[in-house]
Parts: sequence; C-alpha cells; structure tokens
Amino acid sequence: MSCRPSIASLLTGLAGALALARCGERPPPAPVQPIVFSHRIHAGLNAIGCTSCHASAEHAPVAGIPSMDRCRGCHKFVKEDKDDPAITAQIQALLRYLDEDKPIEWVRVHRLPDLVYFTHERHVRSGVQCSECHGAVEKMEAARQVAPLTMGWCLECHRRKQAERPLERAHLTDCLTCHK
Amino acid sequence: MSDRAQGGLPRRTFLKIAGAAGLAAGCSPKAATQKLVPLLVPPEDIVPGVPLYYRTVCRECPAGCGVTARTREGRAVKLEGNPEEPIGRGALCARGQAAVQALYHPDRFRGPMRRGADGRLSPVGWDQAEDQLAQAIAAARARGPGRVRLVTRAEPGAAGDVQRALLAAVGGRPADRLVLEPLDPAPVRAAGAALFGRPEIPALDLAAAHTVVSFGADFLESWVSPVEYTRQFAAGRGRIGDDRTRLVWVGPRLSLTGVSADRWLRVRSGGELPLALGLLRWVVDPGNAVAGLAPEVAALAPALLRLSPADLAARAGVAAADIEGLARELARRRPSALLGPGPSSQGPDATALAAVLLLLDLAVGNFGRTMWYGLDPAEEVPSTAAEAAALVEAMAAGQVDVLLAVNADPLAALPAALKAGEAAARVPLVVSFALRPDATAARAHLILPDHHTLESFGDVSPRAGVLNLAQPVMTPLFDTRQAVQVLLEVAGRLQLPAPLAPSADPYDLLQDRAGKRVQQAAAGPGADPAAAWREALQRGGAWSDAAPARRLPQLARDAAARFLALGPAPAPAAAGEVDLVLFPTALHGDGRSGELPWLQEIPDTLTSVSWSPWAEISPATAGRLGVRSGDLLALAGAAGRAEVPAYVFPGIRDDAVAVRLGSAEARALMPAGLDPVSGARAYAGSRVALSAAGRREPLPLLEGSPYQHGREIVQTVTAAAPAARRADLTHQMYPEPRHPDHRWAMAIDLDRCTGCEACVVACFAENNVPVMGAEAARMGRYMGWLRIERYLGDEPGGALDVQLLPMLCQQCTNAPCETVCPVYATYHTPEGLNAQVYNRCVGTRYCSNNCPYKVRTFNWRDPEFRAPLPMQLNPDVTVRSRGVMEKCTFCVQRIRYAEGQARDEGRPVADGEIVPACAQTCPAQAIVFGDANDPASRLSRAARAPRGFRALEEVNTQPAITYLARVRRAEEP
Repeated sequence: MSCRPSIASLLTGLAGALALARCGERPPPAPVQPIVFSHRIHAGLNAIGCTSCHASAEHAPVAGIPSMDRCRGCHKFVKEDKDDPAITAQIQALLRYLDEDKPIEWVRVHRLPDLVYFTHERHVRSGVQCSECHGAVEKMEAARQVAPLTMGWCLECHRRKQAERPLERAHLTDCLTCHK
Repeated sequence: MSDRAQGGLPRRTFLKIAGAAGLAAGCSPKAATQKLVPLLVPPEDIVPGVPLYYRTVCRECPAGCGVTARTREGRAVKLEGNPEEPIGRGALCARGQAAVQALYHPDRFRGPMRRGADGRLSPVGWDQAEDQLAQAIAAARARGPGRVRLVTRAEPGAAGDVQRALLAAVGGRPADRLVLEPLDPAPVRAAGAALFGRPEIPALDLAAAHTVVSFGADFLESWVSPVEYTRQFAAGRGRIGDDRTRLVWVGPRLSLTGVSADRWLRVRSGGELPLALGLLRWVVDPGNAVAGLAPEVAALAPALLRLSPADLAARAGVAAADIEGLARELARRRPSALLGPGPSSQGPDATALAAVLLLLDLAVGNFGRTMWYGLDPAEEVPSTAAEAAALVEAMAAGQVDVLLAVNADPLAALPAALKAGEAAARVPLVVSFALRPDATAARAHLILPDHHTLESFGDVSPRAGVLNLAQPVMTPLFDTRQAVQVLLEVAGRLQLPAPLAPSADPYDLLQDRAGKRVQQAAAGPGADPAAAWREALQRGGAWSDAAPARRLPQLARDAAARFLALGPAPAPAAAGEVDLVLFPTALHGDGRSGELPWLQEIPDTLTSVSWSPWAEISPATAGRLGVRSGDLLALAGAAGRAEVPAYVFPGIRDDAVAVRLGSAEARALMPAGLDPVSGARAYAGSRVALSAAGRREPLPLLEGSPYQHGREIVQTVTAAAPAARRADLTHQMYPEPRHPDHRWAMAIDLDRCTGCEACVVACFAENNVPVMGAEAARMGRYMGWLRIERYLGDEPGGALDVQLLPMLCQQCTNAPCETVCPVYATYHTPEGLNAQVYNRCVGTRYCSNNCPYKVRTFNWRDPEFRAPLPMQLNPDVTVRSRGVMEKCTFCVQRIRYAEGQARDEGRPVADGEIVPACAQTCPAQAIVFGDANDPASRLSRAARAPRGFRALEEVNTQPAITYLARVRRAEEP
C-alpha cells in the first residue's frame, strides 16, 4: 500500500478547500428585478423611513414586503418626474402593474437558511440599525446584499454585543437563540 | 486487505475526489432564485410571522368542544381548546386536534364530481351538479313521500334546521332524515324516558362524585363528552385519602378508561345487568339497612329480593363478595355516579341495564348532586340503529330515489351484515357531501364536497346554555361549498312556495339563528345586542348558566318493574366460541376520522399497536389456540367473518375476544341485532368462533417489554405509604451545570393522567413530527417525541397492574446524551434544556444509544408531507431531514416567544406564561410546566410533593421531569 499522496488528490483537495473558503463569504451582486426600483430615490433623496414600507420590522419576525396598495398610496399622486424622463419611465412601469392589479414578483435579495430563526423585531428593538446588516440602502439604486449573512458573521456581532454585558446577554451565543 | 480496487481508481483517491466534488457542488451554484410576491391589498390583521387566532367548534364527535385555531399567514397550523368554552375549557382531545389533517388531507376532493357511465368520477360545475340534484329531488317528490332520504351526523344547529326544512318542503317525513351517531347512548335515553319521562342523557359533574362506576362507558376516551368528563374526573384525583375519586370499571375487557380505575370487575360479557341488579338488590335489601335511600326505589325491594345473589353473581361471572363490596361502597361513599352502558357493554338488554343504573343513581341520591336532567337540549336526538336498518331496507326495496350523505358515511358506519352497499346500488342517485373519498363516496353518483369545519360558518348547541359558533379560520383550499349552502341553493331551484331561508349564505344563516338568539339574550335596557353578537363570534360562542331541572326525577309508577327481571340464562358457549367485545378507543372513536395520519401513526395506548387492526385475546386463550401476538386469528360470527392479527393482552377475560370499533374488521363482525327497547345496536352479546388462521402478519408494535421486571419504573403510593421512593444520589462524576436564570422543568401527575394521547397529537402538530408509516412502525421506528409508556405489571404471568408513564425527553441536568456527542450537536443550555442543534448533527446516534429513556428519535429517511399537508407545518420549528437526531425541546419556540413578550413589556416571565403544547391540551391538566429556580412556582410546589419521583433516578441523570406517583387505594374490607 502506498502512502504518497497522488497529485490528483492534492489538486482536488486544494480545489475543495478553496471552494469551502469562498463559499458564502462574498455576497452576490444585486439581482435584476422586474422593474427598476431605486432605494436611493425613496430612502435617500426623499428620506422615507425603512419601516414606512417594511412595516412590520419593529413588531414581527419578518420586516415585510410592501403591498402593491402601499406603492399606490404615493404613486396615486407621483406619476412622473418632470425633470427626468428616465425616472418617469420607471414610474410608468410601476403604474402599469397598478393598473392591471398585478403584483411585482421581486427577486429575493436576502435569504437565511430554513434552520435559522431570525427575527427583525428582536434586533430592531435591541437598537440594531437596519444598515448594520443591510448596508447603506439609501445609497443603492438596486438593493443588494452587502453582509455575508453567514453564521460566523452573525456570531461575530453577537459575541461583541455579549462582551458589553456578559451576564445579561448570556443567551446571545446560545444555539437555541437562533436554531429551534 | 488491499486498498486498491481491481484495476480501478484507488478507494482513497476516489473518496477525496468525491468529497471535494461534493463540496464544490454544495457551494458553487447559489440556491435557486426565490421570488417575493407582495400582496395587492394586505389583510389588516395578518402580519407575516405573527400568529392569528380564531375561535370555532370541533365537529369530530357530538360533544362539540370549543376550539382555538392558530393560523399563520392565513392558514390553520394548530387546533387547541377554547379556554372560555364550558365543555372543553381549553383542552382538546386527540381526534379534535387531528381535524387539521382532515383539512389538509391530500386526498380531498378539489371540487364537485359526477360519475359517468363508465363508473369514473369527472369534475363538474357547481351549477350543473346542483341542477342535477334539484331535478332528481323534484322527480322523486312527484313519486311520493319518503323517496328522498338524508343521512347526517348530529347537527344541533342551523344546519340541522335546513336539512329538516328541505325534507319537509319536498313532502318528506321526519323519519326520512337519519341522524347517524353510532355510539350515541340511546339506551340511556330510552331508560330515562321509561323511568322518569325524560329521554335525555343526564348532564354529569364527576368532580363531585366520590365513586364513579362505569359499565363499559369509556367516558375518558369517547363516551358522550370525554374531554369534559376527563376534566371533571381528574379534579377528584391527585390526592391521597378518602376524598380521592375512585373509579370502578365493569366489563369483560380492561379499556383505557378501566386503566384509570382502582378496581376492575371482570364481568362476563352480558353479565353487566345481573351485576347491576345484584348491586341494586343489596342496596335496597332492608337487611343491609342502607340509610337515606330514595323511598320509591326502596319500595322495589320485594321484586328485587326475589333474585338470588348467588345466581346473579354466577350470571355476572364475578364473586358474590365483589358485588357486595361494591354495593357497600356505593352505600357509604355518596354521592357517586353510575355510568353506562358504553358500547362494549351495550347488548340486547342495554335499556334494562341503563334503567337499573339510573335506579341505583336515584337510590343513593346521585341526582341533583352528580347528575341532572334538563340540560340535554334534545334538539337533535340521533336516530337509532333500528331506524338505520329501516333505511337500508327501504333502499334495498327500491323505495329510495335520492340518498344524501351529509358529513356521514353510512356505508362504512353500518354493520356489513346489513349489506348497505348492495342496497345503495339500488338507489338511482347517491349524493355524497364528503370532503375526501369514503365508502359512501365510492358509490356516489354525485360528489358535492363540503367545506371543512375550519372553512365553515355554523352553530352547535351540544347542551342547554351552550351555543358554540363555527367560523372560517382561513379561505377554502379548494372549490368546495358548504353543504348547508348547497342544500339551500338546491331548494332554490325547486320552485318551492317559500324559500327555506332568507339567503343561502351560511353566514346569513348563522346570523339568522344564532345571531338572533345571542342578541335577544343581550336585549335589555342599556344593552348593545350588536356588540354582544360581535363578542360571541370573537369568543367562539355564547354561554349562560342554564339551570338544570331543580326537581329530582320522578319515578313513574310501575315503570321500574319491567327492568328488574332477568331473562333466561344465555346458553353456554359452544366449544371454540367466545364472546365478541367491540370497543371504541380514544384515538379513533367511532372510526369516522380513522385514517388521518396522526391517528394511525400514534400507537394505541394499551397495546402499542399502530397502523393495523388487532384482536385482543387473553394469554390463556392464546395458549389454548397456540398463537402469539401477530398471528392471524380467524373470527367467525353470525354476522360475518374476519381475520385479524392477535394481540395477547392480559386485560381481557378468557372467554372473550375484543376488536376495535371503527375498523373494517369490527364492521364485518358487528352483529345486526338490536336492543329491542331502545332500538340501539347491540354491540355486545354475540359470540364468534375463534381459531388460529395459521398465518402470521406481524403487528406494528412499539412496545419492548410490557413488564417492569422489578425495576419500579412507575411508582405508586398508598395512604399508608404516601411518599415515593427516592434514590440516594451522593456520588457525582461531573460538575453540576449551573442554571443562573431559569431551570425549565415539568411535573406530570400520574394519578390524573388517563393516557388519552391528546398530548401526543399536540406534540406532533406543534413540532412538525413526521409520520413514517406502517413499514417503519414494524421496524420499531416511531418519531414521536412523547409517548405514553404502558406497563402491564411486574412480570409476565404476574398480577395485572397497568401503569402509564408519559415519556418524553427528561431534560436531564446530568444528561448522558450530551457527553457522547462528538460534534456538540447536543449540549446543555443555561436554562437547563438539552438542546439538539439539527444543523450540527451528523447522525452518529451515540446520544440515542446513551439515553436511558429512549426519547431521541432518528430520521432514517426524509419526512414526507404530501401536499397540502405542508400547510399545517409550524413555521416556528425546523422540519428535520434525513440523518438527523431529534427530540422534545420543551417547546423551546414557546419559551422563546414568552421570553420575547416579557422583554418587550419589560418584566420577567410570569409563572404559567409558558405552556408547552402537551400541557396546554391535557384534558386532565396532569402536566405542569415552569421554572424550578423559582421555589414559589406552581411547578416547584407540585414537584416537592411527597408523591414525586423521577424515572430511573438511580442512574443520576437528575431529570427535570418529576412524576407524581399514582395513588393505589387500599383494598376494601
């Protein structure tokens, strides 16, 4: 029996290690959405607060995708940008959805595995800013994932917060805090 | 051995490549793109991720308990009791909780269907289907009365009114509507009518009874109103001494209700009436000088004294001293309650038996103290078996043109001997309103699927003063229509002189009847009837303290005499013949919801059989026939024959065989005979020839050894020795874990637990526990996190001493599972839970092997939830996959939820705020959950009781679960 490692096994091992190291660390680019929606214009330029549209972030596990009705609430009146025909065209695209009473099938940007029980409510109420995980959304045109959303990344923050008040925040690194 | 495969790739190289390729495959392509589709107009009260509760009613049996349905994102995920409702009081039995699986049953009809000439069902539009039905009814009406028949479950509400009105409008007679409730205790009604002029089932308060004697009435499982009776009965348990409620079970077979009894009188099948007469005779015998007897019953002494105690005892098949002992107890311990007969004791003399029991109740003064007349609304009295037989006869004679089956399956519920299937073949139009295929639907020409109760409006008045309201908790899943609406729409097509109801909308109907009642009750100066109605819908009903009849029932002159004589003694059994005992169980009742996955998967408490019928025979019978559990028995009776796997069970007489009601085998064997007085089915009183079929069909059995083998796993205490045995735990190997904030723990009172399996179903529903099926069960693979352990005694062949032990993860302080996990997938949390982290688990199964309680279950394959069953899954709990170990978490999702609530409100978690699913639903309230760190918590107080012990405490696992030992009564002198 030979104990020398073969070149083939070394190469595949290396490829595997590289794949493992990179897996999930770099967030994917912003996906192409069915219509252009600019967070920069809404959250940045017009300074609309996050929970104006993602309404349940403060009191439910899920922040919530705004309903078409919520879009309509403003765009009943905002139908064009007098200075920028490109933006007018973007608004027109939305208005077509509203006229036809059809939902926009957004491509999901942030996703956690099913075995993680993340709640927005707990994080928002503990004073975590939206931008700590979602980045400077108000500067993005299309929303994209900026944080890797890996367990190591979550824990890095949980450990830091726990170190501030170790006794009170013992739960922060307990497995059952996020896995049930 | 060489590592190099013959001329191929070396094994190690192959593994390396395969491993790396697997890693790459797992990482490189991102998970499939997901879409987020917003709602157009969001429903105001639905917040994603937040549960929303609706109140409604359970329709799985005639008891009609209130239900709280938990919905998530617009779909029902779990049913619990309604704490405000007077019958269930927040508890819900196994069958009631399983109703959600009928809602999401994969086989549900997607819409109306019509059977074509080729015998196949094909979809049809509602308009066409209703037209066809209306035309058939119109044609049948023209041919004369009685040609349209309707079979229904008991509908004490607007739905029943509509059915009656429709039949009346087409010229039908009241008898054309058959209310099919096979387990309705008609003999109790008939006896009440004959003795007191009250054709009612008395309302009970078992909490006030010192002794309960049940003649085959499985009131802790399925008899009349099991959740209510269990709560009442348990209220008198859990204490030591004379004020603890005693239960005596009378019957040829020890039922689960009998397991809760302190004494079992092994009466011969058919010997219940002689035994009851023996009791009455002793009580009224002036020689025994029983004080405070009701004079009208005492006056019956001359007739009774003609009976010879020795003869009665011989006919009952018990010792005369046993009868006398029980009679003495009834004379001394007042008030008491004598219940029955239940199905397993309901023979051809059932009304006489019921009458003697009522006379005993009257004699010792139970009326007005533990039982009352006047609360049975008698709004919907189920039809008798005689009426059912008459319907089948009419069908067979070609006198029925249209048969409507609404929430009833007559072809499966009636005995095979009646040949209802063949009779149905002679009916030109059979219409089934079933939700999913059943025996009647298989023969139906038209299928008009009803909404599930959770999709319907309705009202149910199970007894006076109780009005429970059903309302949809979600939008209907399929193109179904509520049966009452279909009937009204069909009526609308009949050109009747006046419409049956102002509108066909079930909500209008609810408002028209229940709404008016509630608003009338709320009328008065300063009252707001509209608000009262809104509140009733929100709370799930309107309840008032209806006054029971104040006056004691008056014994009609000479009414009793006819029940006090015994007929000729039954002929001795022929060689090889035994008495047939048919019994219902807590999981299956009369069998109407039998095939729901949870109810099949969860093993029967007494036998641990799942997924299969079984026939119980005693060890002596088994020895005589040379069979063991799993060998097929051939049963041949006058009604029919069946082959059933044997289960050798010491809790049955040697001259009897028992088969569960609701199974196809029980239907085949069920005698067509009746109790002539009440017209009720005589489930008991027939014999079958019993022989070994010579083949084997291994039963899916979960039990290991049913005996305790001297280990005292389940302890009992007596008044003389009221403290449980505790182990000496002075030696410690591991450092004691610390629980700085909370230490979650549980106490389970075995004196209250009846083994009804409600907790087990609750656990399945709450924790997404998968159903693995019959094959897995045969391999002993069962995924339940909680099971009811049952021990038959200490050693095989020894005294029968059935003990129950709900077994779930003990959340040990020194947990053996934690120390052996190589990947730390199981560990001890600061709150004392043995956590299981699924995504870390690699499936070594070391933890399960090291667990002395065998409460960890392993996913040998991926769970299968056929659509639309996944809609029931609790989104707060991970659905585990193949290769992962799982176990009870003490419902950690509920703990976290309550902790979150408390934190939001800036307060500590209150005692009793966290209620795991098992404790929540327990009808006996046997389970207490709380913080062991708080010495004042209800849990800590319960766990400190002298009756407290821990399972296998001597292995020093220091479980968080304290069992409170069952109280064994000292034998009567």
